Amino acid sequence: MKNRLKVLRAERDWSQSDLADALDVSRQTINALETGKYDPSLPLAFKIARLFTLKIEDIFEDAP
Amino acid sequence: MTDEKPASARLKIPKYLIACAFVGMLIGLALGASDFSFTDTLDAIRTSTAQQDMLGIDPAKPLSVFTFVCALFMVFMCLLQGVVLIIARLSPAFSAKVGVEAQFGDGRRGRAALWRLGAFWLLNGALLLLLGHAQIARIDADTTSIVAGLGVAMVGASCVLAIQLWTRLDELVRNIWVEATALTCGIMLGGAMLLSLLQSMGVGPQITLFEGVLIYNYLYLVIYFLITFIRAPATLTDPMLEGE
Repeated sequence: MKNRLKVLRAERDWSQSDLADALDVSRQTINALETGKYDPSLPLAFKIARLFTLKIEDIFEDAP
Repeated sequence: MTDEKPASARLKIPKYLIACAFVGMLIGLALGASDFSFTDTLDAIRTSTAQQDMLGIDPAKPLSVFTFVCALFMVFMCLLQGVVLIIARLSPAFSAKVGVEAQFGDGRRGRAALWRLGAFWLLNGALLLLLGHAQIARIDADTTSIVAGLGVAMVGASCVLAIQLWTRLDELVRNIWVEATALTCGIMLGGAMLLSLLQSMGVGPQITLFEGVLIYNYLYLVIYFLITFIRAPATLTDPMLEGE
């Protein structure tokens, strides 16, 4: 699943550590999400959407 | 949306630890006592199964040097992992230095998982030591019952810790953990069936409980590292610098 997490983070000039702290997850989780190696759980996806004040589908894209 | 409980809703750690240990001890005692009452039956079974006892120990078959070295290495890794995680829980500076916080998170929930994970690994090492000692010392039938009961109690305590870890571990770590455990258990089950088939044909090697647990631990570690390599390769390199 593709996502815009890295772009959104860069727009706000946040480090992976900042984003990890805001979401209460590890930096490894952020790294795995950004590199597309891991898809988040639904609660985490909602948390991310709320943090960026966007809809989930604006952040995550269901790639075929 | 948070699954954090207020501090007042939680039991204090020392009381909870004592409660877990007490429940584990009760389970162990009950199992040990019931096992003890069937010692005569077990003796008969042992006599009829090539002099093996309930832990699978064959007095005529010595522990190989290879198994001994593998066991020592695994025990060392378990104890080291346990100690490192508990120190990381106590010292944020140490946690940052060894990359523990990058892997498990340094939030309140992530840090709460550390000592439980440390205790989990220490228990695993202690279980290996217990079973290893039983095999090397060639204990008698009565002591075997106690060892079996104690082993079950330790596994029970590990399960309690694992359940607590489920709600506290970082999401990615939790997923890797579950995938690795499920895959390991599946392979071990298939292996056990194959071994049973070979043994029924008279060609399968005899494996003690200690050797089985040792194989499980090594298999789990290999699979865990493989899945970590796929899901979060940065964990295996330098978690402090990746992607920053």
